[in-house]
Amino acid sequence: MAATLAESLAAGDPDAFAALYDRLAFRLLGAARTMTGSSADAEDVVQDLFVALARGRARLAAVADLEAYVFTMLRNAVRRRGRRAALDRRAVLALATPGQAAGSFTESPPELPDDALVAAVAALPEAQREVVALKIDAGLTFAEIATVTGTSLNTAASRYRYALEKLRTALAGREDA
Amino acid sequence: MREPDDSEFDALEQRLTAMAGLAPTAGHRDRVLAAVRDALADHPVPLRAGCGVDAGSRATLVAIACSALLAVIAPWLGMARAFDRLPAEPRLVTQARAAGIDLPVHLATTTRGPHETTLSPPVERSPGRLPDAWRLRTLLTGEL
Repeated sequence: MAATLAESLAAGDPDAFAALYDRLAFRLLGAARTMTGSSADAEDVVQDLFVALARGRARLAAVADLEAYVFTMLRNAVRRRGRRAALDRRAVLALATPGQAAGSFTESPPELPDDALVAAVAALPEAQREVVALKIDAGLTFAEIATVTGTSLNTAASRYRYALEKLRTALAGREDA
Repeated sequence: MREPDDSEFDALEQRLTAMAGLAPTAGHRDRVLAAVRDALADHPVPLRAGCGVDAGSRATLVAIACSALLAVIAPWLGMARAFDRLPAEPRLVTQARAAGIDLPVHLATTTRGPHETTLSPPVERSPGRLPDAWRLRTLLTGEL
């Protein structure tokens, strides 16, 4: 089934891209939002991802695990976007007056009911936030997460465990306050 | 800091799972698929997997690689020819030595080429080494 879809994608069939979108969009958007902290950014990243898939479709015929491949591309796209945003931020801050700079780039307000949890996830280190996104939003196994992030299975599982510990501590502090 | 138990992590995972995923906003699917169609139209011929080099460029790269290889190998080939031209001991001298004939130094070294059948200078002109010259001549001609 997956191989057939991968072959159709490699052949440049637009219906195959629509099928891939219908199958993965919810999970891709969720994972991208957890990684970027913004729903709008998540939609842009997913669109860029599909364009990249269409341009490099010839490679898809040789892909064994299509989902792992797509989520790997998503992770890379988010990281590229993060680097670009950091450069833009530095450039603007270098030009801004101190008063303007202080008001710039405030965190976007949480968009989910569980505000405290969203804020705690956003505060996780990037590597741990990725693992949470891939485990919770994408629904990948630790073995698949290890493939996507280029780490060992133990590292992926440890990062997830550390992330949960940090979230628990952060939430306990907020809820006690 | 106390060690968290599994029930706390389970509860946390449930909260995370409750907000997992994100439904696309209206029009996102259409925008994405339109961008995909544009990308497919812009790249009608799929690139070769993992390569990104067309046939013409590949031929050029092969030619450059061959030239570089020749540039490296050529000096070695020249050295090999130079070695081939070095004075070598004639087969006859080797045979004579194997037969226990103690050839004069000038006789063994002034002859060029490993396959020459004559020795220079002639055996007869080797002063003072007539026994060796005689034995060599016997060896060469097969006479006893």
